[in-house]
Amino acid sequence: MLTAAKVPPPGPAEPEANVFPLRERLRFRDSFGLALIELRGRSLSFKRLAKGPWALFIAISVHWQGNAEAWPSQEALARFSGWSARAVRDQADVLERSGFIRVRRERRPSGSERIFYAPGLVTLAALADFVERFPRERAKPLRADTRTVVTPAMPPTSPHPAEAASAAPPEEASMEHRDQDQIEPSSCRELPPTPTTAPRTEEEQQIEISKQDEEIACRALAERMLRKHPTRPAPRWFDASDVAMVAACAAALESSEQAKMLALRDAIAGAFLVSKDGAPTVRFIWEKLEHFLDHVERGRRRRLSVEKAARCAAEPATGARSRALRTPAPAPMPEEVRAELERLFGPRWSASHVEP
Amino acid sequence: MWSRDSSGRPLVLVIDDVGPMARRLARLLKRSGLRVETCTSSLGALERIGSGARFDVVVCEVAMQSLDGVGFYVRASAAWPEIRHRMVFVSGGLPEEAKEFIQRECLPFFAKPLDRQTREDLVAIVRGLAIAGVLRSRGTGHAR
Repeated sequence: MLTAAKVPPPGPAEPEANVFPLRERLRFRDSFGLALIELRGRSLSFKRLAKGPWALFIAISVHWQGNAEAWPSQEALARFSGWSARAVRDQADVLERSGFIRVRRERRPSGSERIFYAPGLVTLAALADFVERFPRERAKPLRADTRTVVTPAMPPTSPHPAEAASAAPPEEASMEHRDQDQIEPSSCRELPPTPTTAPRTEEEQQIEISKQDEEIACRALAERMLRKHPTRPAPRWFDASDVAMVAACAAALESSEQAKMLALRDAIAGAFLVSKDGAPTVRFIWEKLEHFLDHVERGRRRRLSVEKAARCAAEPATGARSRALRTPAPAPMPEEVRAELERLFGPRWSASHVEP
Repeated sequence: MWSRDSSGRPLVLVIDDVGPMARRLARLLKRSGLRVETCTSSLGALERIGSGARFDVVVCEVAMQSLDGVGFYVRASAAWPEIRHRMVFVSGGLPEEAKEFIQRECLPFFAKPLDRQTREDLVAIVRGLAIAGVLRSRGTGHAR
């Protein structure tokens, strides 16, 4: 049984990938509804979860969409879950004790407390299982392919772009009120021709590659070349399609520049670990998002293990201390026990209480 | 928090060509504080989406007479790609093709009949999707 007591709280300096691995995080974000259904339906721990904590878990988990930790206020959680603030606190305790979430509290300069929620071990295990069972189904090449462009069968009559492109609420993006009462129930009309191909994948449709992503991509490509040919200087120019491919992966991460660069480095390291025929190619590492995420995960694990080994080597005293802590203390002698009891309860505490 | 209009509640579209079923599902969702619109024709719903109407979540029956749920989703995606994150399918029986499609696209699906536990889960997950939709459309990011 996993309990929160066995789960170390994530510290403020703990990398996001350790708190919530990137692959699971992105998969959870992209298939949020299905993931929730699968968690609830498959994991025994989630099945047993009562209605209140389950509602709170959902309210917390929507805030993990792009982040490893979330810090919604308790009032927001109460509004989202439909429970009172008091109930939210109680249910958060239940979730924490059972290992569904990890909670970290941080005192702010103003004196107020901010609560960070991260997935607990039970959730991480269930999500890892979900990712295994539902490998990214649409792991198509991220390279833009003009041959597969689909003409929408029914283009929106509004000329405004979708809200996804503007990151603004739909009513702002489309400059339309969302008062649905204005919309009359429609009547049937002749259908437009059915599109012969499935809608384009989300990666192809919505990933917006910024200038920063392209710069990160160039740096990652240079690092790959340096790793491939350590003695040669890295090239300054790269094939535009390669840059676009790497930049698309970087854009899909939706993290800070530093985190993206770290993930790309991990991916290079992870790909070098598994590549059988010499150095991995650019396409091997970055062509498919799913494969890229696998490389990231592999590289991240290797990096963490190397860092851990380096820490142990650099701090022998600490290592010795931790080893000493792991060594069980010798059992106290009966005389010592008796003396301690007499110290605690006085000389009248007779040995008959201790000895059988 | 999830104010998208003056009432401050997310909007759900329920599509089912069996009117009583649509109304029953709508009542269930309304009780949990969501605004719900029902549509008994997938073609009608498609028309509304094509004309720019947007919803926080779309709950759609798969087996329908004029245009089935999968057909609706494929067509609606062309006009509104974001629907992928807001779609929930329900059905009493799935044709093999539809089942494959839903699994391939990793879309949430609830099998009818909806028992008490499933109803509660459906409501909770629709609420979750609604919140996620609101946060996503706001571009909310708690950068760590």
